[in-house]
Amino acid sequence: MTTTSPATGQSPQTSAAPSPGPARRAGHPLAAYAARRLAAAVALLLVVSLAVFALLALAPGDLARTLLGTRSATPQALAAVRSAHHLDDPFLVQYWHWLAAALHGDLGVSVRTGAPVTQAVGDRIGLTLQLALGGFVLALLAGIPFGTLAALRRGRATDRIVQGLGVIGLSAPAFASGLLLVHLFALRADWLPAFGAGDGGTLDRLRHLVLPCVALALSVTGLLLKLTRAAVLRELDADHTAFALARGVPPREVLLRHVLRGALLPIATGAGLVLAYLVAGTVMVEATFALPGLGRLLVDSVTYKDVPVVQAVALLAASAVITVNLVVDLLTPLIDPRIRTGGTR
Amino acid sequence: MTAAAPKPAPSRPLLAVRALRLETASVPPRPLVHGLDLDVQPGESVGIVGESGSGKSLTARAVAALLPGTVRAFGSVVADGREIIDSRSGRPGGLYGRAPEGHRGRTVSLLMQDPFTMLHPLRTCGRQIADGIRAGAPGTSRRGAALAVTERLAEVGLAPGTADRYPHELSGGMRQRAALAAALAPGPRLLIADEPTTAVDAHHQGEVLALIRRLQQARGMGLLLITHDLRVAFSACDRLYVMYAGTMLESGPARDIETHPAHPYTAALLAAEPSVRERYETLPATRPAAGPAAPATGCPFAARCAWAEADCRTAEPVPHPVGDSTGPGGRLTACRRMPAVAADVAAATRRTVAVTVSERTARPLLQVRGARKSYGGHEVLHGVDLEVPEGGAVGLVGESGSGKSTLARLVTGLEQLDGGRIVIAPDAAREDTGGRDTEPLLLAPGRPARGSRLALASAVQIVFQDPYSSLNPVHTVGSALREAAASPAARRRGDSTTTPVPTAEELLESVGLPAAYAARRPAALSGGERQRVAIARALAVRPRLLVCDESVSALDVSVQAQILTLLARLRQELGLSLLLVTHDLAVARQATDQLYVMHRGRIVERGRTDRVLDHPEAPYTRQLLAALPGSPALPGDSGTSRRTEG
Repeated sequence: MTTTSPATGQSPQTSAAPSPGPARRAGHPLAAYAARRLAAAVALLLVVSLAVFALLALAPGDLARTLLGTRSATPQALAAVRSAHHLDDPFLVQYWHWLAAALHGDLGVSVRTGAPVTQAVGDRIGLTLQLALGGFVLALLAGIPFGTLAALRRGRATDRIVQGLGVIGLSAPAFASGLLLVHLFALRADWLPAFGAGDGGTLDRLRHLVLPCVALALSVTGLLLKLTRAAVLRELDADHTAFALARGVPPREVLLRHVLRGALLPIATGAGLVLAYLVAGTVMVEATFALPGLGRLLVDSVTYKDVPVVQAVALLAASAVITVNLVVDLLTPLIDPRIRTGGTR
Repeated sequence: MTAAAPKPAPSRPLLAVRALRLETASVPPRPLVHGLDLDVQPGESVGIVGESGSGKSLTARAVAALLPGTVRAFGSVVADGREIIDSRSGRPGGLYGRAPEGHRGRTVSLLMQDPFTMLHPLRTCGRQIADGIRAGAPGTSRRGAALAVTERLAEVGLAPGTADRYPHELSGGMRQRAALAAALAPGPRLLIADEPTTAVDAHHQGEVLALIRRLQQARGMGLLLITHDLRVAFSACDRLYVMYAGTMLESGPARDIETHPAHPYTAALLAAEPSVRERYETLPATRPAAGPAAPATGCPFAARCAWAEADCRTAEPVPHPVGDSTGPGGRLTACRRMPAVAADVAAATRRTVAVTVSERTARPLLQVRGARKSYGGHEVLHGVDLEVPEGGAVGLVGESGSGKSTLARLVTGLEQLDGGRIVIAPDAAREDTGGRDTEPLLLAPGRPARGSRLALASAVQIVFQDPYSSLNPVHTVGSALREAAASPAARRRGDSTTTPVPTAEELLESVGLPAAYAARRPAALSGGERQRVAIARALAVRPRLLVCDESVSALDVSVQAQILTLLARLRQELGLSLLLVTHDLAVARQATDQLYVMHRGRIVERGRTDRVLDHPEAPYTRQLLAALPGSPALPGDSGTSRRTEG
């Protein structure tokens, strides 16, 4: 009770001698933890799918007409649509049929093109993933080292410059920085293509993705940088860092094995959020660089009231966010042994 | 600032600090440590004693070349023949603060205070010891390091398997041992231990000190022990330096300082130190500090010193020899009035042992019967009985996790019982006049009704440990006190007492603070003043029982003595009953008549405080007493507890 607060006096585990070998019993609580996380993710996905399905019901006008789209609304066609979508059943039954079909990979037919939704999405998902991952990797490569540098030079000129640049990147919308990049590197310097996804060759695709990825990365690097800086600062100020230096551990080793190791968890959590945001947020960049990705598909589908496609893209984006969060949640016990063994501190 | 007393050293000192000056890197710089001289000979055990703000920990950091970037150092620190201060730049610290090759680790290693934060939470103990081993002997093979880790662990009494454990899997005492193993891993010639026992349970303090002492002697290593606790310093050090507000006030052999302090401050510190063996009439407390800031000129202690003259407030204190003791290790004092006032100081700080504790048979005010409480399926109180007599002072001692704080929170209604009951007797003063509170207040398991909660709050108030977090920083002291005095509990109390509602000013005066403090915010108060405000706030309700949950344990010893004196006075003046929850047996001895010893959720011993502490019967009470620093610890005892732990 010397320095602990009255509140910690309540947790009896802190002073009770730990039973031998909690590390060896780790398998069980870890599996339980993973199962809990997985169940939560599935539950969340169900809730999201319900909301996405409700989009259709909320769409203005007659559902059958909406689903028919540009096709001529003959009574036969309308009746066919009504029965195909179970529109005469109660809402939850409709949802059940839709969900069952979705689980079998059938997300309906595009109102606009008449092609299966899965095909429309499948054609474009590759490009969007490449774009998002590329932007993510660039943001990590810039944000983490510069965030660490800023923390190490806390309060000095380097720190202020790095942070300032981060804020500029953060506050410039992706289309603005994208246009600037196009102007500088495509129009002025003519080093890289200004728009499009290229003719399909790997190298050409890569060349076409450089500027969009940079534009995308710029919008989130500032976030990662700030996050890294805060996490590293906290570790630098921690007693255990001073103690490592005090027993003569070389500063470089302290930085890599103590400081960055300790900052890893908050950075990984933040990076997960950033990745989820990127997967769901490529719209602006795709529009700026005329890339035929999911974002473009979403914009076009909203414009043409192509509800099945909107549903599919929204569901996909939500699943991506949930999956990324699940992965981060499953990674945390690998990073932090205290979560692994259910310890309190 | 070069007023160093020349000391012809017989051999080259392991550590020689000369005119060390530390100041903030701000503009203008604020001085933190003023021209400090300090020596540690090889194999010698030296202590720096001081209260918070004395600069002792910064001095330790400066010697370890680990100053934060916000502090600059000037002067000279020579460790093992090498200068580590670059006076031109003031050498800012930080992660890449330079130190000569091998200074940190091989020459000097620093053991820090808090075993809960000192070790990296994500790395096993073995890895953290191993990186220290490689720092001492670069190029050690994996296998060699693993062997050395086992050796280091054995040295501190931990099993080899501890190497694979993470810090959170170990108890506080084991973590402190693992940290000690890590600190010693590079084989330092000087170990700096910064408050190594403060965060450790009282139960393990003596053990940790004895272990550090034993390893120091076995390795022929120098030890620089930083502590606020005179008992710790006397039990572990050959020589002491006493610091106050960044200034060295006195130095010399520990035994001499203990018996004949040569500075009024040291004398006051010694007098304020509660003893577990005797109870004093009062602990002669120094005047409270004028405020958090120290004066810029003159002796920093002058404002609190009863012997200060005009010159003390203007002339810089210069250390000079005491009596005829010259040469290395001799006595030095910075008091310009010594030895003239030595006899006066000794007389004024002499303590009289209290004759006896009045054997009162007052009726019980608080009765706890079979109290049970669980958290998360884990029972922390296994049926506890406790009684506080009307106007009595009862101590509840035990180590952290014993359940004593839980009991305090149950009694105050901050937690609800899972079993048993708590009874508060009706107010004797109102019984005959037919007031409302003539029925005893009964708390049973489950959430009590609002009426009961109010009645409880009006009868029982609590003062917490940390005065820094228990006061809202945005409210002035006055508004905090007025709010408490106007609370529903205080109004309810108004129905059953004739004492008028006190004003904020009256409350402040009752705890010995000027009424003008009502306009201040907590940030403008020192720790002791904040704790006085916290007590005043509890008194605003005019409670009958005051529960003090470790209320003095975060305070400096001189402030602690002031607060204990205040509590004794309040008991006398207001007829207040006191339940003092503490880990500190000496505090319990000074402030209580009855004592309950708690261990793992059970009362293991109860009785008159003097009898329990002088003739303990329960093995656990004996263990607690034997673990105190300076107690003749039984070697067999500490060996057993080590084995059960490791």
